Amino acid sequence: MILIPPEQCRPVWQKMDLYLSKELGVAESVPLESHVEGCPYCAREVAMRRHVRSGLRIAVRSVTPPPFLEARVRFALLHTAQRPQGKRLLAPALAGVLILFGGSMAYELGYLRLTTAGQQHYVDAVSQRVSHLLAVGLRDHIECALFRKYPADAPPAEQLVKSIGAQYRDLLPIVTNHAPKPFRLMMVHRCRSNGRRFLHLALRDGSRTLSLVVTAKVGGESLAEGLVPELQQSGIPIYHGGAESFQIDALETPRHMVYVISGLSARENTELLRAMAPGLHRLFSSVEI
Amino acid sequence: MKTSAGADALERFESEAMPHLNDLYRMASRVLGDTSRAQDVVQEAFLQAWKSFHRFEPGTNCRAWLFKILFHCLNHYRRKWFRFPLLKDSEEFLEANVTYVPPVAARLTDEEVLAALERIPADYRSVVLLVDVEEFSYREAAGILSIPIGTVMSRLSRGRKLLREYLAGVAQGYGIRTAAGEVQGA
Repeated sequence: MILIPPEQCRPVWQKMDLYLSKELGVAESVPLESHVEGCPYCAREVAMRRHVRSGLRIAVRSVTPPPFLEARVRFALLHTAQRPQGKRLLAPALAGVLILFGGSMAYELGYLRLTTAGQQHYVDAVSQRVSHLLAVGLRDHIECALFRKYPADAPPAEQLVKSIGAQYRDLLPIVTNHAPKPFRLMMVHRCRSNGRRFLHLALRDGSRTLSLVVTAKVGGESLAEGLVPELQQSGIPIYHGGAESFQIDALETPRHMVYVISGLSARENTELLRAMAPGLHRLFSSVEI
Repeated sequence: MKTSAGADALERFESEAMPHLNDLYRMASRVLGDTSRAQDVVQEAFLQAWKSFHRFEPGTNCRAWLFKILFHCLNHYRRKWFRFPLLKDSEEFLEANVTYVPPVAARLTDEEVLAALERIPADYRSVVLLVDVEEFSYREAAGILSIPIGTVMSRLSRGRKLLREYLAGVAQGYGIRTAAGEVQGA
């Protein structure tokens, strides 16, 4: 069927875009709506234009930025903000260097990422804002979960359990049953950094990343030394810290420290660990990393 | 004191600006058609915004302010945007609204829509994105792009029409015909 407006509908079609963009005043939109309700040609055309706009909005908003973009921008801002006063002339040069630095970086699977030196600088700058034991989990989250590429689809649970061992099978439902709904478990692995071994689960909801990080205590360290717990639920103290947009909550067992790190609000992050605390405490009091 | 004031300012800037990072990246990547350059431009836009933050009035439209800075940065990469010859705005605007445009398929995939969007000239594409996706008003879009409202209207009409033509071409390519009752309004 060919859609060409009848002559009496031409004035309506001329204003249809304005109407759909809510740019028409009441005096013009009310008679237009009245016409559309009684005119099959115009009703069809309005529906068609809305259909295209809706499809466009959905398609464009389905695109998500790379997970490290926020970290990269924050690093650039931090670096610019930390320049001494009175050296404003260096700002364009520094920004230019950062852009050039970014432009010459190595590509990995089509994504731009910071070099090791740039990553380390960022991790150091952020981590120094929290206590050193909370920084243990924060560092692993930034190094391991932010600066990486993720698959488009969440891997199956069996594959994830296989990658870390059957003794941690109970860990996955503890995390997935309590994580906020949009988050999906995208990565589970063991990693090493600064002489420590970690068990690391990373969840994503498109643009945000949430980590559960577990590491063995070293040399008798304890979160209770130097930190005051935020909550005591079921007798399990939870320790909280924050740096930039990162929220860190941690609990400890006799041999392990367990962290939740994310860009959620402080309250949401703490509530998440609180909900998982009994299961996590039970599990990591009986298994080793 | 200066350090503390600077840290406070940065924290205020981040709380105002960072929530809009994803929207700015989406805009930059669709305008440039290049995700890696989009990251560079977005970073540059945030740096420029930070440097200008002392001129930003709290409580005003931070999102529109950021998009204006973004397009200023995008101009460095696409200097020929605003030399595109146009018909008289009012005539083109009216013309685009009443000429025949074939219907599109009831079901549109994201890939088809994004491919059609890529084919629209960049100056039309920017206005379509600002109004139809980011939901800025015509006046806000005009301010972001530093063009008259009449130019926003004409480019928007042309851009929407082109988008629909390209999508209708996709439907015809699949041999899909739409009848009056098949289109589901949004």
